[in-house]
Amino acid sequence: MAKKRIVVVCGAGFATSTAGEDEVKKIIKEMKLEAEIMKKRVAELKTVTSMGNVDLFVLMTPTTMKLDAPSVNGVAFISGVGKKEVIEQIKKILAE
Amino acid sequence: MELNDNTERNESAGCESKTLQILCTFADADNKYDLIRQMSKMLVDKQMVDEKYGEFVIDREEDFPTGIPSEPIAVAIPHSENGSIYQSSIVAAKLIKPITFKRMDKPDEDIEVKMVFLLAVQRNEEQLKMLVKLMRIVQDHELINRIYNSEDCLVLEKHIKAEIEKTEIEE
Repeated sequence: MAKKRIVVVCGAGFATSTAGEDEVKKIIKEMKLEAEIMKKRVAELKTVTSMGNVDLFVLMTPTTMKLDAPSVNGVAFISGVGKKEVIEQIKKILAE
Repeated sequence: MELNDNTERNESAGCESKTLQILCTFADADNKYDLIRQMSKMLVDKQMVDEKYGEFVIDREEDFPTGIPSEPIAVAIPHSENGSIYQSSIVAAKLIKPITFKRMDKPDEDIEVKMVFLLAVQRNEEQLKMLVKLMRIVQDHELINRIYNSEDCLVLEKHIKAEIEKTEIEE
């Protein structure tokens, strides 16, 4: 399976996205996938989407921008609420 | 001069962790702005951030709110990447009365939070790991209850410090 490209998006690009990154890393490990995880600021999204080769966006902050790949609500990784469901969503998206 | 300053700072600040200092307070504020200013002032008084930090945090909260719908204790984690941070730290506040924040995932919705963690952290691997641990505390119903129900600041500080300094157990 090709290397997956995952973008974790938050306001600053380092604080809350780190919590998202941590969980995504665990999923990648469990699924034995090869992946590149990038932490980006929401302001950088335009550049990221234009790359056109992202497999998954984990959003720590919502965006109205049209994304060219599926996205999940990463705030579940901070609140813990709905976390299992988001993990399942991610697994499904990455399995494709 | 710097040396003296450092010594003084370390003595006067709360629990000292390897790279992050944890300060705690029981805060009584009327709104999030008032609260963020109170919490930032604690850091300014200890010369851990510059005086503008609180206003940067407030600005950012408007653009990217940080209310987290965690259960049973909803929290907020205001922070900013702007302003000068001289000593990385987290201020944990147990609120005397809940305060309204906007939700991080749904910025149009309000949430009543009972605890607030003001973050003043740098883009540094070790500090970010501690941040991840802080977020794990928020998800642990029993633990966050225990922390929230601490009857004084020292106990609250001790609980948080213990969790944040725990060595990695998972992976």
